[in-house]
Amino acid sequence: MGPMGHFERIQKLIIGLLLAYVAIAVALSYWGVVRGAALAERQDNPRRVEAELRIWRGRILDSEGQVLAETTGPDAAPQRVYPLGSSGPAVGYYSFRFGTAGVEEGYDAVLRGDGNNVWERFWRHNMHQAQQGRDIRLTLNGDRQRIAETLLGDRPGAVVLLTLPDGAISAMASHPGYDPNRLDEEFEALVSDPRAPLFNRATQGQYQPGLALQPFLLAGALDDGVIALDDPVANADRALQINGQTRTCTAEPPEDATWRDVLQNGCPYPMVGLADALSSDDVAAILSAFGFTEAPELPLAVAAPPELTLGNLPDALIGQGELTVSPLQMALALAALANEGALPAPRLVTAVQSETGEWQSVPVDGEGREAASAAAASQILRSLSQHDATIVEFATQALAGPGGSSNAWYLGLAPAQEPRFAVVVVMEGASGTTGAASTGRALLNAALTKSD
Amino acid sequence: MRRRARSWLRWSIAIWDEGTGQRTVGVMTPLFFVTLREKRSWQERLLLILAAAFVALNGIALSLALTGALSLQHLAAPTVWLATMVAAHLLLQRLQPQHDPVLLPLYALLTGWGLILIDRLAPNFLWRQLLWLVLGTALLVVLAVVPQSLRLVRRYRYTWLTIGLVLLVATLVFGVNPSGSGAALWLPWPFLDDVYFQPSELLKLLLVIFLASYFDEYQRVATVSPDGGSRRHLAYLAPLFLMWGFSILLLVWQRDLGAAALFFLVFLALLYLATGQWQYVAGGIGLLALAALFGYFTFAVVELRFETWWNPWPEAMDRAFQIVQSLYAIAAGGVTGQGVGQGFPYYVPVVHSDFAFAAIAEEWGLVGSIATIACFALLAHRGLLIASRARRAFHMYLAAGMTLLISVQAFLIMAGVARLIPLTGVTLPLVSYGGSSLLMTSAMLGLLLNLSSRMELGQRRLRRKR
Repeated sequence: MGPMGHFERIQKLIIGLLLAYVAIAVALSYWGVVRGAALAERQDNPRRVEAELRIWRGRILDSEGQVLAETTGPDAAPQRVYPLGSSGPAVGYYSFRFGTAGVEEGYDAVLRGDGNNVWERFWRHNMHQAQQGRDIRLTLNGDRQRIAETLLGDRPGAVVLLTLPDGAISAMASHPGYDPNRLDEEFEALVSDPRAPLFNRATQGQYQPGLALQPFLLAGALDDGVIALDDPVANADRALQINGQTRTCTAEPPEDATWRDVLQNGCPYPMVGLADALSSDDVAAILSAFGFTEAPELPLAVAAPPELTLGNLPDALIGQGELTVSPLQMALALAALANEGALPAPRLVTAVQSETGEWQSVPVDGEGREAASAAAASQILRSLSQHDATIVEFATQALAGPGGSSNAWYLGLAPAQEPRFAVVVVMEGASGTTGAASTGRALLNAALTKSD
Repeated sequence: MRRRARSWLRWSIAIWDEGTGQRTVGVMTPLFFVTLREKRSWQERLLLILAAAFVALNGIALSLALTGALSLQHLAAPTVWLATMVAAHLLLQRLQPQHDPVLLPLYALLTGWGLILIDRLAPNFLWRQLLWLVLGTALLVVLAVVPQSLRLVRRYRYTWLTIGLVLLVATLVFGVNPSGSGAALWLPWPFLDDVYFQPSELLKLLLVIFLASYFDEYQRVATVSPDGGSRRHLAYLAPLFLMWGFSILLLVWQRDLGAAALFFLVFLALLYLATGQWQYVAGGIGLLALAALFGYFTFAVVELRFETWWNPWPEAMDRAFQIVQSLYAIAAGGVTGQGVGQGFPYYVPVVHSDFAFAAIAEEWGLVGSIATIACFALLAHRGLLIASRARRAFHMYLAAGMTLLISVQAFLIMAGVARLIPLTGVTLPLVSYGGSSLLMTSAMLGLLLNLSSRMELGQRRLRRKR
């Protein structure tokens, strides 16, 4: 037996050790329970990545139920697949490494399936089930999208096709684009490409509108009572010097030209004269009524227009001022003309799957706000030139900067009576409007054929 | 007070050997009357069955989680483990029937759990670890049943210590790190490729043996001349400074923070056990603090461990990566854990050795990690009880020293993983991957089993005298 007192000392050692062990248990409870949620949420916690990788992302469907994007592959390594291939700018991309863009970005929370159901989250967490995303159905039509991309071909520019009267985006093409299926391999090259293929020109492009503003400005002028379409216009075919470039009518107007002839033949000179009749506030009001001064409300990256300063009113009236517009803005304004003056809100999603898997349709956002009176809109519409009696159209070239290059604009509506489709084509650096016009017409015809 | 304290100890001993006031060697159980020997055998068997059920269940769960089926790859190691433990149990029952019935099941549970973890975290080390486990269990049984083992240990204490120190010096000169970088604490085994030994693990045991005999002798000196005065103080103060210096040397030469802290803490506990004086312990802790301060300003490793402990968050992706990942693992585990094979513990660097406890916390949750703590607490309790009942001072110091070595090491790493104290870089005894550590811990448990049987024999002799 050891000397006296050892029992007590050993007892104290036991108690000391037990207290030390209890302290560990307390520390573990602190990190595991009290701080557990906070630590799990930290950005640098790799388990977030693991959870992210396991999310079974929802599908993106087109208006007919065709798949535009879906997740396939083994549970351990799901892959995002885009059957349309070249649709990059329209649908966007999802990449674990490089994030999201386009529709994938705009509806990320839905596609990931982020929900607020506490019980479901608890169950999923404890059963180690992957988060299940929800599907969305877009207004985009896969067939028209493919046609739009084919028609645009390898010419830089953008195409937007809207259905009327709801302002739903049926197709939007942008060239150069990218294949979202190959994003991970090509991302570095895409980012450094000076032609900006990741950029969706249809919604993000900022183009000088040029005379493409003419139908809208004249509609505004009609409403302001400054002109009437039958008023004669002097010197309608006079040439205009802009930055050393000569601009005249696209077609020769008759001798005794009226405002109707000016519009039909795309004559720039009379627009400058409007500066005497309209103040810059009037012009600003017209432009903002047609939605040119604000970004369209879409959960996508859309171009925010520069703040409108009409420093030089004559320049602004021929669309060569400081205002730049996106093809989507132009298409919506065009839709307003066909829509009895009501500017529709852009529409991209028709239905979203609920947490229980049922489709819930996204309602059309009202009637649209008034951009011009129904009378002015219909007068302008009837004054635009027609093609094959089915298409109402307007084409022009806008100077795209000091270098002297120009962009072609094509604005088209079909059918001519009660239009159901509006198309806007922009072609960068085009020497004439023929290419843009044939693209726009072909797309309208295709849309009409398919929908009949 | 003293009487009450003793009865408290007696009570916990009495669970095993005395029933309610019966002076017979037999015990009444609710069902039948068995002899003490039979009862102990049944207790050990029952606890082993529980441990085997746990290991089997987890082996099956791991196999299902990783392969979706019952695969030999994941079930072979637990089978070998079970065979080894059954053999150890039968041998101990036959050759050393009076041994403590809790230690072997604890050893089985912790090593079995460790095998599951290594299969999960570092499967290419599994067979190597299994081999070490079989060798370790053999060593445990041999040391537990050979009566001369304790005498040999004591008689050649200086030889052991010299061998240990020679090995340590050899490590300082020829040491390598099998993983290629880090502290060079290993010596290659002669004639064996790619097999390494960590002499500091052996040194731990040898040092405890030496200290036990030292305190044993000086206690006698002190008892013979009760008014020894300054000589008596010197007897305790000299080794205090020696141990301190030795720990500092370990730190300076080997950057082995864990071993240095462990040696010194165990020594302080033994010093307290020998003297019962807090002054020594307080002084020792003061010296430890001094050494820590000195280390903080001198050694990058000490500074790193301290700073990443004090505030790891600013450097979570850099110097404090390991401890922060460990906390993430604990957080991911929550109360019930992610389930074996279903968490992401391998984000913690070297999770299979130093951070095995973090993996337990993630995959078995608080339930599992607190169960692990409870196992080590039980081990400490049993070991110190064996110490308290030893008939010779040497045996008492030896039992206490070995128990403290295991339980303080377990504390250092478990508390480090939970950011209760700075990380010291020791392994979790019996659980973590590491052959030398497993072998030496098995040896210590073997000696403890041996001591526990002796104590029984002694008590029974005492009873007969009454």
